[in-house]
Amino acid sequence: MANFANSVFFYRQTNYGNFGEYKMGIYNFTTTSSVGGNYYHFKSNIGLSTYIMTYLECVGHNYTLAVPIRCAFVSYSYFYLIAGVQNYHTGGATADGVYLASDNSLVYRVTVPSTTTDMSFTFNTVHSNPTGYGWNFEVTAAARSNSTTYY
Amino acid sequence: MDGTLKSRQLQDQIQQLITNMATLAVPTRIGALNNTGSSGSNPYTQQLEIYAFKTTDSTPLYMHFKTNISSTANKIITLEAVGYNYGQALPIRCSWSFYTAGGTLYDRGRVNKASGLSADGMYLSSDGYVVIRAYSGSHYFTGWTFNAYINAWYYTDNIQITAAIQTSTSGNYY
Repeated sequence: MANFANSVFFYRQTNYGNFGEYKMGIYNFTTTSSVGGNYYHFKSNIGLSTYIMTYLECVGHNYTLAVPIRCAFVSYSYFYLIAGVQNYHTGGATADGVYLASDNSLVYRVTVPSTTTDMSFTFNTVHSNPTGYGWNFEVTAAARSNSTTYY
Repeated sequence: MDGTLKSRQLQDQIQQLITNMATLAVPTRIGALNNTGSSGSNPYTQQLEIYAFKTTDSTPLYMHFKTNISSTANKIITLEAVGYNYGQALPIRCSWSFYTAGGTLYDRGRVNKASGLSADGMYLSSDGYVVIRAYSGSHYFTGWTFNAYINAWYYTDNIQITAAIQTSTSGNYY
């Protein structure tokens, strides 16, 4: 029972109904190449003016540099974008920023050192804030590039 | 009903089963596949999303969360808060580690990995249960969830938050 085919949504035993706002393993990213750029772009299913507050966390391993990865984004899809980042471990991958795609979807950007070849991480999310509570976050597209914007 | 349709229905049923398995009944407790060490097996090393907190009020600044862990429980536990302090535009990831034995609470470390919330302190309530205290300079539209991690000693109970309140002072409340 501890091995699941899908990502896992956790439901609390008490308070605030039965939304599952802590979700683990919603998207996995793996690379074995240093070619293609140092910016990784993860487009989400959150659009502008949807009023969703998000905590998004990357957890993984930069094998090339032998360092763990744990970094976080926070964002609010107000009628304009509000966002922040924090990096718990440094050197493996960096939560670099959040921007709006041309279709006004939120895109979360991760950077890695250029020498990285083998690396992987997974995304966890928390949607416990008063607005956007229990949002079913998804990564709808992902790309790698040499520029800070892609979508 | 031909074989193709039966096969399709079976596939749908399997997919539904997988979906149901991913939506767990509460509380979620995850145990290790294997255990080593001298303290016996521990089937529930992680208890995730045991409680969620959210508020739209920026004040009061202190929050007290009373647990079901007694001062004589003889347990070593870490509680962790993970979430988003919107008012301060910061992530939340902080933890309280403690040990209770013989009527005493031992603070075994508090860590603030992100800046949106501080693991401010811990104390025993007047009826002998562990209370953890959190602090932030503003809680405007803040939300987080608690996870629990169990250290040594055989432990089968659910870790629970039994009461919570915001106060304006850093002292004991419960």
